Amino acid sequence: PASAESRALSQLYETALAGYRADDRQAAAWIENSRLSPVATPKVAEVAAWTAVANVLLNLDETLMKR
Amino acid sequence: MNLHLQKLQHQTRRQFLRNVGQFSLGAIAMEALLPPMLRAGATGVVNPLAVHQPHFPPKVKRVIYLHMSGGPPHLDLFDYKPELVKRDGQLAPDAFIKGKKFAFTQGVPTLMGTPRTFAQYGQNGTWMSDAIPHFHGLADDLCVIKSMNSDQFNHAPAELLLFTGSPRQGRPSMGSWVTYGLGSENENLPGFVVLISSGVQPSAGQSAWGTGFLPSVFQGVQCRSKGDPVLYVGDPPGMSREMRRHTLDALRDLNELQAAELGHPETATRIAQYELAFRMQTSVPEVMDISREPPSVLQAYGAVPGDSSFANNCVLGRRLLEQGVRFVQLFDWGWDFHGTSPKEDIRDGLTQKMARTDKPVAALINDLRQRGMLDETLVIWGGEFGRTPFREGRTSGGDILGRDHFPDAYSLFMTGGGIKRGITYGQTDELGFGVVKDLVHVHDLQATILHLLGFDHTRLTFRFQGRDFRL
Repeated sequence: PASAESRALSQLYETALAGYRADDRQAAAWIENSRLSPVATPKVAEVAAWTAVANVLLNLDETLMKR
Repeated sequence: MNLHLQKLQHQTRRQFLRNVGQFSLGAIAMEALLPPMLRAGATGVVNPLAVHQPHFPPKVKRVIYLHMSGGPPHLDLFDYKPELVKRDGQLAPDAFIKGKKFAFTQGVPTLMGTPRTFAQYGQNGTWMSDAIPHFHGLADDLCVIKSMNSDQFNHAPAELLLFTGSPRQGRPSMGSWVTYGLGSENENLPGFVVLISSGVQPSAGQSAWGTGFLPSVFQGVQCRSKGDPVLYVGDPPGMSREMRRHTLDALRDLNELQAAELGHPETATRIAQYELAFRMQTSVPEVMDISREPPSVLQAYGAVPGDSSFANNCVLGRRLLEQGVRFVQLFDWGWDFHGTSPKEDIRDGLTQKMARTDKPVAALINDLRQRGMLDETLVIWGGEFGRTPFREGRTSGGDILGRDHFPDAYSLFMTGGGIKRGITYGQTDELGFGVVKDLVHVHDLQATILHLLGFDHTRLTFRFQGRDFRL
């Protein structure tokens, strides 16, 4: 990825990680909703944050459509 | 292959001219020529749904189109033919049917006069049958067109012709053209909303509200009156509103990088749609909740919160119009009165179908008037074609009275801004086989609708594959 792209994604990862670290239950619900198997602590927040990043990648215009 | 060249091939000549450096002559000239929706705002972000002005001052700002899928039996509702009643049971005269084809009738059919009771209502004596009691009091509000004419005698092509101007798939729908031309007045809701009742989609399917070759942001958004109004409108467990915003920010930044690199207009559309969807997550559940209406209003329409009825959709339609939605399209299934079941009998079957229809439509018109909205709104009620002056071939031996599809002459009505009210326009011959005065082809109806919205219908165009297309 271009540096601007990695920057946007790592920024999202950090923000999401902080959010899910502050709220375990949200993180667990998000993982369950994403049909992932339950994750042992202390990785819950990390997996939840990466799932949010993956969600963005899978919804990119370039993922969905060949221009 | 050289990847750099491949990338350049994705750019069309028009996209290139549109996107070259902001201060180049080409860009300045193009900027002036483009429809306002394609110009970038101060931030560089294009809002394809921004409001823009039509060609001349409009008579109405918004439209609610009430479509009765299947073809209502106009000869049993509006177009009274005493001569046909006199000749009931006789064979159809050769002059009227020679060389014609019908959907389900072969040979020489039997004429059928209406079994319904007709009377004249309002100052100008508009004819109406006993099937539509709630319309009687509105006679002075309606413009009943008795000379409608279509080219197609089957549902899907006739609906496509009516809503896209072509009997085949691929063209943008009327609501898409209107939203393309005018934008949306509410940036939190789609400009074009579709509501369906009686459980079945119209025969033309989603093409009846599709965008064809227009940018897909102008497509009609189908909302459900029961359950989630739009599927997955809520955030899933574990995804807070705040987190959703963060992910959308990242998504927008990345998509904008791609738009800058490849310059494809549909990438801009996708960015705009994600943002609209985010705003719709709060605005849609609110506007779609009819339990917020006072009981007296619900009662007038005959609407019950939680139902998915035509009446509920009429209430929703008014709520959407009130919020600035440009084009509301209702589809109601069950108007195909062939006579193959008691529900399709033009006596009891029609009475029962109409009992669920004329009351909410009358309530909608009165409600719009009371809120001072009727003068700025166009209301249309009708089908894709009418029904024959004779009994349908397959069912003509039975006890149930039904009629076949009939595109040559049928009726619909309009009311609202810019409409002459309390009049009947056009006329059919004494048996109702053809239009004898002021023929209104469905293309004329489309031109009239665009005219009322302020458009010269020949100038609201979109260039596709080298040709300017219009509705």
